[in-house]
Amino acid sequence: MIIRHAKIDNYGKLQNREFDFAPGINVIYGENEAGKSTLQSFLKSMLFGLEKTRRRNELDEYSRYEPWNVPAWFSGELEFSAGDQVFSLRRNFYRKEPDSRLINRLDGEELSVDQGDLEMLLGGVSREAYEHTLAVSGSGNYPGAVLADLLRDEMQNMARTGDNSFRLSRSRAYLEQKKRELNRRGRELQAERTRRTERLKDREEAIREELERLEERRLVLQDAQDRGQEQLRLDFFDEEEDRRENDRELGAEAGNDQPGDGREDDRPETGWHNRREEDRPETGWHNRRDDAEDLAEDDWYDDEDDAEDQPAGGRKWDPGVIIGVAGLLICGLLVQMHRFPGKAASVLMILFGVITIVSIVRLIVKGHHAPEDPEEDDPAEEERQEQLRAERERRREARREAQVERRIALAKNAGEKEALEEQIRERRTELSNLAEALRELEVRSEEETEIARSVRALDLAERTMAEQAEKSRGRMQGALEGRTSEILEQMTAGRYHETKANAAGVPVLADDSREVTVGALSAGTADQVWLAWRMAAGEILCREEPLPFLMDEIFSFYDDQRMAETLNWLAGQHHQIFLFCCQHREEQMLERLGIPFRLIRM
Amino acid sequence: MRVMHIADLHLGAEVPLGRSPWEILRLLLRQAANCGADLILIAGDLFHRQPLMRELKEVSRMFEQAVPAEIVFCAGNHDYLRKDSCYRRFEWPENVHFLWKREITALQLEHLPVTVWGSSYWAEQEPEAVYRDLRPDPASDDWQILLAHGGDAKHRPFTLAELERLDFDFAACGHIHKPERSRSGRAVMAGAPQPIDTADYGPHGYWLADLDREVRVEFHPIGGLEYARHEIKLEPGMRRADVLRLAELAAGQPGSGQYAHLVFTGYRDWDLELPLDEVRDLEQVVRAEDQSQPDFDFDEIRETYRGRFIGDFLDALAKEPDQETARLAMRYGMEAIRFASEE
Repeated sequence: MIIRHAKIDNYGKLQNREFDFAPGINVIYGENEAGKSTLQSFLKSMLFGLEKTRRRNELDEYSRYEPWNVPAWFSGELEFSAGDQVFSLRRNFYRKEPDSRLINRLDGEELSVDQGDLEMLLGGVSREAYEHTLAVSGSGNYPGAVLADLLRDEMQNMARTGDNSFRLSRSRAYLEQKKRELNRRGRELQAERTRRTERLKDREEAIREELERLEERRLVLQDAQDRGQEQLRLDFFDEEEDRRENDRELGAEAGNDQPGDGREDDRPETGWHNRREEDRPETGWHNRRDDAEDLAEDDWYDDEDDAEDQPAGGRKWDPGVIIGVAGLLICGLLVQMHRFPGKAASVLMILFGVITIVSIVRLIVKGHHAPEDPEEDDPAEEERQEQLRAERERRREARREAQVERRIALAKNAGEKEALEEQIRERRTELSNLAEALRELEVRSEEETEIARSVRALDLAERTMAEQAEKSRGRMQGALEGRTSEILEQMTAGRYHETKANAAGVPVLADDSREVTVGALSAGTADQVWLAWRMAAGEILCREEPLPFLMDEIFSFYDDQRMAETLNWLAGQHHQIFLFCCQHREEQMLERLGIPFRLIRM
Repeated sequence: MRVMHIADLHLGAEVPLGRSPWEILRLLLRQAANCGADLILIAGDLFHRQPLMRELKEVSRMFEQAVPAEIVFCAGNHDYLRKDSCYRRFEWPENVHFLWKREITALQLEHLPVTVWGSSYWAEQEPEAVYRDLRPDPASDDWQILLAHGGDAKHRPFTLAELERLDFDFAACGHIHKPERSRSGRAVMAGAPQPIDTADYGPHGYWLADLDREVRVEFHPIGGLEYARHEIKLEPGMRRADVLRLAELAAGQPGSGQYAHLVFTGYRDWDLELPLDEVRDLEQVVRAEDQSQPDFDFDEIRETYRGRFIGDFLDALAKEPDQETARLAMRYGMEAIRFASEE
């Protein structure tokens, strides 16, 4: 884009001025306060517009150049070419009635500044971007955070396709939003599952408590049962005692009767050594109750009665008698048959006779010690014996009754325990069913799985986007550095050939021997570096349309050599160049270098 | 002779919609009485989990009230006879016959000219095809009925066609929740009388089989709850209002007992956000899934933007090991970029 002609109606201190510009280098010479800044401002305002902004301490540009005499007459004209078209632009900056007209001189087409046609011709560059790159004013005015931001935005502005551009941050915001929504739904579903889990867990808790209670009760019953069994055993021994007592009472006739004979089989079925839990038949517990009732009418009970009825007899014969008599008979026989010598026979017969007599005597003696004795006692003794017997009888009766009661209680206990076991089993089945249901709830539903996958995909998209953006930024950073290095190398004829940005974004210069940050350089060198940096940045930010360089007093700190280098480089650029100077130095140098230029005096 | 054939009652299961399985059983038994069923066959999974004693007592009473009908049932993979199962200790009334054994046995009924062959599950899974070589008794005059539970890979695999070829007069099957009949009708998968799961699509109910000179089988649907899967095809140009209208149309009338599982397919405008939440809030919708794609042609885009950010972004994702997630990421990325481009 080349500005050919400028006409200032009323702008700052300039009124009714016209300028014709060359497509190449224009040196605009004016002493201080001649209006150089005003012209610069005018050019920029024509291109980018001028708005009154609110600034706290300094005067904004609008107020600075607002005509004090006739505020409404605040306008001018520009004629410029862009590409192979020529345009005429008229603008009035009066803030209350700003106005603009843009006409294509070649075909008369009227364009609209408001709708962005002018902006498009300028390649979509903002005033800010321009002022930080191609419009360089003053010295020591180093680009800082603003340029860095602009560059960063531009780096993010990566999919430019004409007028389509996007912001990375907006994309990320979109992805974040989607993720939030999905996570919300996921949490909803999970909460639902948790709610159901909690309900089931509550039930589980309640059942466990009941189970505990039931098991405690079972322990109590078991305990009672054990004690009951123990008692049965004692009862059994009591029976034994009773029986022996009985036998003793009935005297020596208790000979051959074995107390407890045949009792083994009659022992009750609930005996402690017979029964085990597992052996119980697989029928309902109600059968057990019948057994309990059966127990009340037990057998062994009756056996004791039998025991009493049995005659208490003793032996009525003695082997000695038989031997003796048999011996006598045999000896007699033998003597009769003359088989036995007389003397020996006599001895034997006497022997056998003695044995017989002794045995008989023994028998008689035993008979004397029989229960016949009590019959000989006096009535008092008999009565006492009778009383004792009755007493013992009563005791036995009481014991028997107690035993029956205990038996019934034990059976009831067993019944209750059986019912309890059933309840415990029931609770246990319920618990196992609940455990299964809880396990099923632990599994994520299909929808939840899908949500998880979508969230992963969103993360992946975000991550990849950020990575790519970083790569592009790196590339662009590299490009910026590279281009600055190139420019600098060109400018300094190879003296400095490498520029990098260090971590803080500050250019670092490298020549053959060392690396130096800009701050450590002399002002002139620093200015040069910054110029190169700005030019490179300008290539990036203003890449669509080559805008004119606007350079205001940039050579103040340059030595002649540097100025010559830079002017040479500028001469090689294809952009229109405006050099605003307050000295003749630049002119003279250009002439010396043989670089064509147009001189314009303010 | 009239037979009612049901299975998969799943008593004790929690059904979010519809009637409780107990209600359904009551209904079925009442229906059996109404239509004069002589025999009721329940082909497994009467209970959803291990039955409790009190539940067995309840069912037993219900069965008892069904007299004079005879009831034959077996345990399926859900209520299988675990070591501590209450089934093992329970005594059923006279008209109820429980084929509890693990091996297939033939039960000859006393009051009906019927022999029922079947067995129960003793484990959660029984992958052996136990019915393959089974044959009924050719000499018997009784109706030979097979009571089978299974039909998929882990549960006594068989097909209805296979069972048809065995010489049973009727094969009453359970386990698969979807009701189905073989061509001749002599083998029937009862299906659950009411859908248990939202994926149990289509009508559900009970079967009546009339055994006469020939076997006639009829399916009787039970209304009140039915799930259906509907695909809604989206097109570019549709907006939220269109989507919602389509969803409402597909969902069915409130009170009809019809509930929909909606799946969105097709291509939609990239800037259309599917109102899934609103669709799910519709009364007759139990599930809504988005399987639609935004209207992008990824390959074309990659080509167009080769060397630029979008192209690099898509290329980077194409290299990801998990391609399923990566494709989804591409979609989301493009949506985001397109969204951010609109200023």
